Amino acid sequence: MLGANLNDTAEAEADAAARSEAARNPRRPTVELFNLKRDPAEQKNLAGEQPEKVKELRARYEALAREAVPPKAGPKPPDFLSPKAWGE
Amino acid sequence: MKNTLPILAGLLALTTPLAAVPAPKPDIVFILVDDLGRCDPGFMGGKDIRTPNLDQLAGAGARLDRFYVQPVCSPTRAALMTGRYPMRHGLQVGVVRPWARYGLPLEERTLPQALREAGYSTAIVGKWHLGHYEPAYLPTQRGFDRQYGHYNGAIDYFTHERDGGFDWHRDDRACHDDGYSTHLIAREAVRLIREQPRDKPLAGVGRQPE
Repeated sequence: MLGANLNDTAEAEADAAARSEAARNPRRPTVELFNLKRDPAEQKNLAGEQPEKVKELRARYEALAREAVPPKAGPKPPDFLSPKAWGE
Repeated sequence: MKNTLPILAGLLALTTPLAAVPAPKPDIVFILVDDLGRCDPGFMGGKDIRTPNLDQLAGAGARLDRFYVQPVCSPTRAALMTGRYPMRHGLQVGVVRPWARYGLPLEERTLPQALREAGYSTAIVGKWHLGHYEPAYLPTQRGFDRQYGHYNGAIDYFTHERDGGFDWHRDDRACHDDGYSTHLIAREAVRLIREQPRDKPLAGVGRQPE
């Protein structure tokens, strides 16, 4: 099984989540790809050796993300007042 | 000789369903614990918190050490109730906040609905956290015969309020039982189990507040 943490420098420019991760961990490699079966402790970064696998997993990740229903969560409306009892 | 075994097996397969009695329906008690660290209970190596009853259950049962949940409350509950990833119903980000004008989408079929269809009585004791915007989102409308506890997270343990609104309910009506919420929840769970008729299976979800 292959796992990847894909925040390539170029992609990080376009990806806010990757940008904030890169800011938190400046010394972390920008792309990480591990063979979790042989290397469960994620010691050997294979991203440089296997750019095609990185590309493939990135595409899979993005396809799955596109299936997500937009999150319903939102900020508290400024005029919101708590009811006397919730659910009524 | 070589060919007789498959035939015998085929006969057995034909006759077994005719002779079978309905599978017994075990009672189901599901305890969902909020904010429990993976290594907090004693059976996982925890030393700071004594969990003798959980340790005993773990010792006599199966431990699923690759059983993952969502990182916060409502998405985990949504997944448990539906068997679907929260990204399928829009509950993947954060918890259902007190002011949320949504809940677990009403078109979702829930686990207690399915269990009720299978002959179970169903009950939820503790926190719901899957929406209370309209009555249709409340536990007794989502498959639970009985409900006791609160809808929001982070209620006051003693006043049972969240953000100034009262949040303690029995069967989705305000309920003014006095006491420390964790004790009330435990007492109700024990009562439900004790009073369940022997011939009717019970499926209960107990959920301690964080």
